[in-house]
Amino acid sequence: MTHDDQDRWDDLRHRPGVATLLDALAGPPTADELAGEADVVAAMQAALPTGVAAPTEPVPSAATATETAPDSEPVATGPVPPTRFGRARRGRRRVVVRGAAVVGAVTFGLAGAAAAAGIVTVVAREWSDRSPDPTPPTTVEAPRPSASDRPGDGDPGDGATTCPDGEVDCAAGATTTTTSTTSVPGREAGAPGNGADQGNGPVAQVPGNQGQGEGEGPAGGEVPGNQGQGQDGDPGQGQGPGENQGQGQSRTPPSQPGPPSTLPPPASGDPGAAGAAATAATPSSTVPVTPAPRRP
Amino acid sequence: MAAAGKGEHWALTVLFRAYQPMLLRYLRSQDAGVADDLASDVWVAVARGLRGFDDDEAGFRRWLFTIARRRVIEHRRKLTRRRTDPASPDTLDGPDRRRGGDDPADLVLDRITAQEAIDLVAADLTPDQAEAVLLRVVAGLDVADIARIMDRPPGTVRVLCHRALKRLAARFPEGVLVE
Repeated sequence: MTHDDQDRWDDLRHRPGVATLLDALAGPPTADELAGEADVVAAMQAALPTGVAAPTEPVPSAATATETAPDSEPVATGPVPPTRFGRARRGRRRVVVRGAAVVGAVTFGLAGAAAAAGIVTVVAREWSDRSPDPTPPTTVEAPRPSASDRPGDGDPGDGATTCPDGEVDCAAGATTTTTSTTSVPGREAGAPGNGADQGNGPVAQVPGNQGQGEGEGPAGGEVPGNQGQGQDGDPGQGQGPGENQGQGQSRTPPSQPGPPSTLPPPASGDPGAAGAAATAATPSSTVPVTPAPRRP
Repeated sequence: MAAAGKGEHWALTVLFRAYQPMLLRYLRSQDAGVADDLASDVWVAVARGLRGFDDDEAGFRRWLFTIARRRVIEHRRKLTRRRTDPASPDTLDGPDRRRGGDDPADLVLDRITAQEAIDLVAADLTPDQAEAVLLRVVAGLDVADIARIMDRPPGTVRVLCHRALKRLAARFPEGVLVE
C-alpha cells in the first residue's frame, strides 16, 4: 500500500462512525468466542502427525501457502494415525496368525514326541471310522502332561479314527472325531484309552497365548492336543502351582509391653448412709366455696 | 510455534486464544451458521501442518486465514450441491431487526458488540468488501496479504477497502452515533 493509500485508509478508518464500528470489530475477545477451547486443543493434538518422521510432502511456508490454489491446502503428510477400524482388522489378523502358529506347533510337537517315544502302534488301517462297531485301531499314548499343562476338555472321540502313520493321520483323526461326537456322545462311547484323557494340553507348550484353549478340543485320542483357539492377549487361566504365595514379613517390630501403671488402685468408697424414712403425705387443702347471694 | 508443532498443550492453547476470536469473527462474517464448525476444521488443518510450518507470527496469520477462506469456499460448494442453507437464529435475527428497524438513527454505535459490528458490516457491504475489511481490520493483514488470500490483485483489494469504508461512513455518519 502506498503512502497515499494508507492516508486514505486512515482518513476513512478514523471517521467517527466507521471508527466505532471497526473498533468493535477488532474488540477484545469475548467468552463465547473462546468457548470450546479444550475440545479444539484436544482435536489439534490428535490431528498432529505422530512420530518423528518428517512429512513426506514439504509444507509450504505461509508465504507460499497463500499463493496456492484453494484446493491445494498445505497439509503435512506425515504418517496417518491408524484408524480404529484398521487397528481392529490388524488385530484380528494377528490373532488368526498366532492361532495358526499355535496349532501348527502343537501338532508337530505332539507328533514328533509320539514318534520319538515309539509308542505309536498302528494296528490296522482297515479300522476306519465307517466301521459300525469300531474298536480302537490305534493306541496312542499321549505325552504326559507337564505340571503346566492344562488338560483339554475336548470331546472324546469315538475311537474309530485310524491313525496309521502318526503325524499325518493324527491330524486327520482330529477332524473325524469332531463329527463323531454327534453320533457317539460322551466319553463312554470312545474307545478305551483314546478318549478325552489323552487330550492333554499341547496348549501348555505354547506359553502365554493359549488363552481359552479349552474350547474345541481335539481329538479322539489320536491327536491329544487341544489346539485351542488361543486368543491374543487373553491371559492364560493359569493353573500354575501358586507361585505368588508370598511369605511376607512385617517390617513393624512387635509391640513391647507397656510399663506398669503408676496410678494407685482405686480406693473403695464408704457405703452410703441409709436414706431417711419417707414423710407422710399431707393432704391438699380444700377451700369451701360458698355460693354468692342472689341479687333481687 | 515449535512447541505447538510438538503438540504441547500450552502452546496450542496460546495459539487458540490468540487467534480464535479473530478467526471466528471472520468466519461469522462469511457464514455465521457454521462459523464454529469451520473454525474447528481450520484448527485441525493447522495442526496437521504445524510441524512443518516455519515462519513468523505474521506468516502464521496469513496461513491461518488462507485455510479459513478455503474452508469457507468448500463449505459454499457443499451448500450448492446440497441445496439447503441452515441458518442460525443469530442470522435470522439481524441487527437492524433487533434495534427496531432500518433507520440508522436507531443504532447506538458506541455500544455495539463485535458480533453486531460483524452483522452490520456483512449487511451493508458486498461480500468482497466485507471480507476485505474483516481481513484488514480483524486479522490485521495488509493489502498484499489480503490480495494473496483473496486471489485478487492488490489494487482491487485496495479499492474494495476504500469503497467499503466510504459506504460505512455514509451509512453511519457521526450524528448517528448516539441516539
